Amino acid sequence: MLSSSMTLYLIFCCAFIILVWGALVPFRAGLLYNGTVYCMAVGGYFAAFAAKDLGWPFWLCILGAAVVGAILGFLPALGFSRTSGIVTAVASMALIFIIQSVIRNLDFLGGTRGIRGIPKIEHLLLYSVILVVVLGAFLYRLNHSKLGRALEAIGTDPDMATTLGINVKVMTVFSLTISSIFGAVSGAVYAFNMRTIYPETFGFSLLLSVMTMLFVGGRYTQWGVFISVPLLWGLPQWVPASINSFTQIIYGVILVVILMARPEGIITRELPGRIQHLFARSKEKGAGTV
Amino acid sequence: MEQTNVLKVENLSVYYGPICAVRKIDLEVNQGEIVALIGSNGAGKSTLINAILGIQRARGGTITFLGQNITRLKTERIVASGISVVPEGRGMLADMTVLENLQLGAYHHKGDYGPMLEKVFSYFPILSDRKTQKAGTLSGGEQQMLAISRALMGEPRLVLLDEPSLALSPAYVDKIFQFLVEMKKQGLTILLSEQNARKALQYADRGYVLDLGVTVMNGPAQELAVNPEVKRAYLGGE
Amino acid sequence: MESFVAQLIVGLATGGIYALLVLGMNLLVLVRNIVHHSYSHIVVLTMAMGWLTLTHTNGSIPLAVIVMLISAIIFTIATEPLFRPLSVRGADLETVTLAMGIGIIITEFISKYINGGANFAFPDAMTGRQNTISIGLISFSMANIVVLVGCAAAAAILMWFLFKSKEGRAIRAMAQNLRVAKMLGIPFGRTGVLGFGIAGLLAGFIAILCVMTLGAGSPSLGDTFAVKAIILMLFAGMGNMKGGLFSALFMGVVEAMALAYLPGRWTEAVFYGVIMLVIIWKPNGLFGNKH
Repeated sequence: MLSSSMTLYLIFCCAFIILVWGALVPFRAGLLYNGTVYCMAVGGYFAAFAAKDLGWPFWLCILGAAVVGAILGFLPALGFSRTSGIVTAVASMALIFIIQSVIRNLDFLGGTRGIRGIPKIEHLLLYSVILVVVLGAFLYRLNHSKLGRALEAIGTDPDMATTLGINVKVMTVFSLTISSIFGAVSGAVYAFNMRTIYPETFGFSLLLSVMTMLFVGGRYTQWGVFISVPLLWGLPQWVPASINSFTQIIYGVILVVILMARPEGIITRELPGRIQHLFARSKEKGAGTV
Repeated sequence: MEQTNVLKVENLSVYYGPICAVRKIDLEVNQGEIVALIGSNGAGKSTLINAILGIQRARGGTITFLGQNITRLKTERIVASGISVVPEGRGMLADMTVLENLQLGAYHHKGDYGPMLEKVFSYFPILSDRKTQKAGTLSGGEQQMLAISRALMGEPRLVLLDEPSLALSPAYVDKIFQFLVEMKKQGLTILLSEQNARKALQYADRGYVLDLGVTVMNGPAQELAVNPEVKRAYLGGE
Repeated sequence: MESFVAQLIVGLATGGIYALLVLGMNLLVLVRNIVHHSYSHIVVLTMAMGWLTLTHTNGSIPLAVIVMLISAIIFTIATEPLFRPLSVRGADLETVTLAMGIGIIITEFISKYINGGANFAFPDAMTGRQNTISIGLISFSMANIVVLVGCAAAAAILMWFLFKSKEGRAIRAMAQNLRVAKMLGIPFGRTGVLGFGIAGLLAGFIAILCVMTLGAGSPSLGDTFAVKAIILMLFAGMGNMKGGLFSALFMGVVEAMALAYLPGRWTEAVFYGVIMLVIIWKPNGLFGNKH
């Protein structure tokens, strides 16, 4: 049986893997979208409110969070279909400040004190893993579909993508909405794991850790998060207590070093192909000896 | 003493990754002459000019300018040593004024560039009239005048021109070339690349014919202009 | 009415500091085409250096000022090599993230080592907040006036440098067309370091003005400034010096007025909402992109 702190840690990892995947979808289209974190707050608060005050069961909460996240992510996405690059990155940062401020002012969401005492969910780890598998499979299908290639084309060169008959605006809205759904689901998992939620969580520092995870793991494949999220979440637990207080600085240094030394992140675009190739070869070898 | 080498390129090779753009080219430019590089698109003319300027690094060979090996120098050192360029497509700094473009041409000018500015304005009075105008608002021909004037501002020994006749009306092409001949008479040395082989050979002293990165022919311009092969391939003649 | 004028002056002083931050960051946009998100953090780190000097020596203010100016220049130039490989590739999202990483490091450093993470207050002798001037019923602190004049002077000098000097012209040429600028013989490395150096000097000056108006620094100040500065940059148009100047002054005044006259609860949400809508409405900024 896993210790309770380990369980807690693994569930956080699941939540953040989903969150970083959410940020990854628009990145394929060349957009650094901070609205994923905004939808994480939306999803987290929705799930907390629905579970505690309305008594909804877990899966209904997740579904509800996804739907609300999709709706509240779709609306700003309409606006962001006009912008690109750094403009999107910064303007979507404003969404985070807005949602924080709104939550602080809504009394039924607990204001600055947040919502405490969210019901405990049995087998939450199992459920989170199921969510990671399902969403991971969905993302894999998306990346290897016509839509995924269209996003890739937009990321490479929006003007060229237009000439290929891709509707850049529609695809942008689509990718941002998907990203919002991922964010909302991760927020719900996060809320059930923490069992308490308050607006300060969804601030600038969360945004920075998401970005660190995205850039360190590798933002061109969906596999990098499996390295970067456990590593960066686990860092405070694994390093000796004497340097524990330096974790934020270590995050910063890791981010800077990775960006300079390995701009694509740990898992680069070529790496999965190369690993596949390696496996295929060893299989051939195995087959040869039999 | 008159026939001194200003620029000497020996055995120069330039690669873009694995692709060879210029292969073992030899070239000489003497004091006070106009040398034309002719050849079709992709023959390596622009690559050669960029390599001389140090923008594209040479993989092999040497470039000597006024007896000094400049092969590995940074572009800014090369420009400072007395080579200036009229880039392909004129390279206007469109949002800056005509005057600012000219002042930037004199970036490496040691002393006072005022007299040179006066001189340039006397060649092209229209630039003087429009000196506070944005360079992007000039017509194509005026932009080419500005680009050439800008290249002269640093009082260089050698001017490189990359496709000076590109997108210019025939009347302007003649005007530009006549101006270059005028400059030559004042002692300037000029190396230009040109797709318009007929015009280039009409005004140049010597020519080099490039094809797929190698020199296929070179010699005095009048001889090249009547060479049957050159005629057939580049002059569209009989 | 009297309080309105006083608020206006406070707002203009705050706006002036924002303006200088935006000018410094825009200068770096021109030099290296990067959004130096951690420029504000460097300003706060510079304040911290000044505070350290004051606490560890006998509190000599001229010494602190010199230390601040020099350390700001050193810090800013030290970041230039970090950005160079990415700015050559033109990867703007990566450069913003890199700058944010630098920002984290600086913020955490300050919260660890400067006054144990608490606010670090400067002595009154340096802040000049005690000296107030009264004209009729209006009274305001001397510091605000000094800051306003200082901002105007710094902005004017920077504008003169960019638009009238040889190196300023070279920087603008690099921003407009790096390839042509190189062909004209403008040294990429040296001009860039010069640009960073000037931005650093400006950062030191901003830090001094911040000490005068705020009287104290805190670890989170860098993030606060950074977000406002980057939003203002987009609001006005990236690399647009004059647009940034006006937007910053405007924002300072609006902020001061909102603090004074609007009920607090929804101000922030409305403020960021409006900003976001404007940015979406005009992706190139209200005054247009300059590169």
